[in-house]
Amino acid sequence: MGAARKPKPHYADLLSPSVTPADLAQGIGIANSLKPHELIRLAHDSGLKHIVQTSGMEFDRELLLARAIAAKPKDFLNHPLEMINGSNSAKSERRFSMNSDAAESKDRLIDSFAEFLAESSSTRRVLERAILIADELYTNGSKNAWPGNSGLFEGPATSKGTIEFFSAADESRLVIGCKDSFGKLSTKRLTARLLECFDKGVADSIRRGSGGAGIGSYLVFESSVSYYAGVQANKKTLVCVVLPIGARMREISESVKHVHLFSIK
Amino acid sequence: MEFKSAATKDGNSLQLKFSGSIDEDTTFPAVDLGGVNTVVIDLNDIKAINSVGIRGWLDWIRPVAEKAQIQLVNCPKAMVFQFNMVNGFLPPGTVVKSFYVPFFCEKCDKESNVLFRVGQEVVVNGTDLKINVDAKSASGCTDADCELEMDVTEAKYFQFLKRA
Repeated sequence: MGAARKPKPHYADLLSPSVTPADLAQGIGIANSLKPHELIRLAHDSGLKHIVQTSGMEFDRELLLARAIAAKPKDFLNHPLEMINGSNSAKSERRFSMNSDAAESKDRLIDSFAEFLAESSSTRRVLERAILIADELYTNGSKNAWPGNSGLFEGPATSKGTIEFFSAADESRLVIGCKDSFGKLSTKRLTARLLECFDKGVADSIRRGSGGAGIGSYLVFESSVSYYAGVQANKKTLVCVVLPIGARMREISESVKHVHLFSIK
Repeated sequence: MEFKSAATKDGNSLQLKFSGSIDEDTTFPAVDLGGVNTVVIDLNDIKAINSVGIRGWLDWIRPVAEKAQIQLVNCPKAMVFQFNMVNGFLPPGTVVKSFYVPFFCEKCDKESNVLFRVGQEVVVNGTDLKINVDAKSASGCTDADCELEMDVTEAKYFQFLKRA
């Protein structure tokens, strides 16, 4: 997604009274209740970097966050939890993090993360979904270390780098994310891949041969209510998602999502 | 958790029991379908499945489904998510006989997975679903104040039954 590219909003419900010309100039669009495939189609075709939905979970917070990320994208790449949950959030939430080499087995991460989720009933109730997300985020993060696997990633494969997996839970939301030191993710390829899964169906979009199946990002996107992917070319890739937990879990339709996709140099 | 499978044959029915995680390390069993017209797969002890596991599952189950009817029993939440999320995860003709539904009680702060048998705890009639379950009894909770409620969005979690 090039910085100079002008957004081209073209969905009927994109322009709500809440969106300002400044928002659009920053690549922020506001929709009402686009379905997941419509949301990704819009992100892919329009060049918008952030699309937040008025009927999605915590719309106001997501809009403010979109504005904050647009203003300081590097801050988001460095401190995603602080920006998503607020700088004082660490006092009221449980956190989990693990750093590792890209080549390291993910079994240890999954086991430790499952223990973290099991500590509270609110996170235990989404354990299966959260473990799936963790598995896919970690695998995608480390995928660039898989020789010969290009997939969503640009540039030659490498086998050296670090991966930081993190999560935070408060009463209403669980954030799960993974940051790597490769900075190779292409957000354009990511949206194209998601669209392929929506258009052809997951089973017919699966990549054959060795390496990833190419549907992990789809599973993560479909399992969350907010999806963030940010890239600093050749330096950092961050993908994280939000899941509703606790009392709000059943109230919130997972079909209305927010998406934030950006690349910087 | 390492994937394991065990097989037993009973007349023209092959019973398979899978356990562990279905992922990039999983090797599905080679099955001899000679004289077999039904394959019953017990998924009770499956803990997780990821995207590479989904590919492996599809590669394995599709040819089996062409030669015998597949019946899935004791399907955990992790598998039900895939039934709903991945079109084609259940090959044509596959029957889900029973699956777990999560319940939660705010008062007791207690979760419980209740086994729904299709045709008993849940009855499908076209696109209509009828649920006949006393979750409290099924969970074995003895707390008089317990208010167990289904912990999923019904329209989403039971979607695969309407597609069958």
